[in-house]
Amino acid sequence: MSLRVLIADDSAMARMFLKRCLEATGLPCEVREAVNGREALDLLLLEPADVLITDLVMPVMDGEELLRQVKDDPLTAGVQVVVVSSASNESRRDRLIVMGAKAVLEKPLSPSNLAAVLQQESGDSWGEGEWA
Amino acid sequence: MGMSGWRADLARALEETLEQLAFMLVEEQEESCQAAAGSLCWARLELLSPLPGLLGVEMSPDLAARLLQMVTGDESGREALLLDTVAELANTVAGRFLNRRLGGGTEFQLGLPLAGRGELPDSGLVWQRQSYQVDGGCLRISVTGRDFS
Repeated sequence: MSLRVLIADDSAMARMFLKRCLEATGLPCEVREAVNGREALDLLLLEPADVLITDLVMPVMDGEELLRQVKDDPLTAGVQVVVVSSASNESRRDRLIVMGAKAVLEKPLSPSNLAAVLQQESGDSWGEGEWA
Repeated sequence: MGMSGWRADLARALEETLEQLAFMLVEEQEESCQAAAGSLCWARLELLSPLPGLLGVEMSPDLAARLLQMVTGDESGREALLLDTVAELANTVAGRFLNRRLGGGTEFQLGLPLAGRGELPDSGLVWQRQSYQVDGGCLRISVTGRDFS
């Protein structure tokens, strides 16, 4: 079973890069895309995902607000959220983790870092291991 | 906080970003990218806090196309993707730059990037500029703000 991934980033180039990174992990993935936090939230409510990979700085709804709303809603709280951003540092990273983010990765993203985060969780949290 | 090293931090942020993103090497150069101005791709974003200012990146379309190809595999060279590539680079360099200036303990905020073709809109501000040679192409970074002089 594939890992259901939703990418939220307003940059088409960044979304293409993230999809390439996901391919490089070798993990089977079904990928959907959103261009801001609002659209990502709507897509999550329409159809669940195992993993949400989100940027922080986005129009309409930013990544931090998206994380807050995802974790506040029982329908979406189980989604594992990975934040990928250039606007993160140690202080913000700690705060995002407390808010419920599974990982916070700095741009430019290294495919191996993304793979490590996904594989680290492959035995338990992600879709209860069904996707591996 | 001394600001004397901000130029070095900016150069290092650019070097790290391009090296990690596309294995591209960066060299400072004396001549500006002015000769090709008019056809350059540019992106600009606000550094909102705590070091307010603007950061702009300009590069030749050829270089933007090579960067896009290296990062995503896309060879279409579509205009929107080229501008997106410059915007994403500006965003990433800005984040790395502020991380270097502020250390890990101080949060910072970035604005949304704007991108276009031609001259970087200067808004009548005094910009500090530095040009670089990247993979045979020209790239220029401009910064303005009270902490960058």
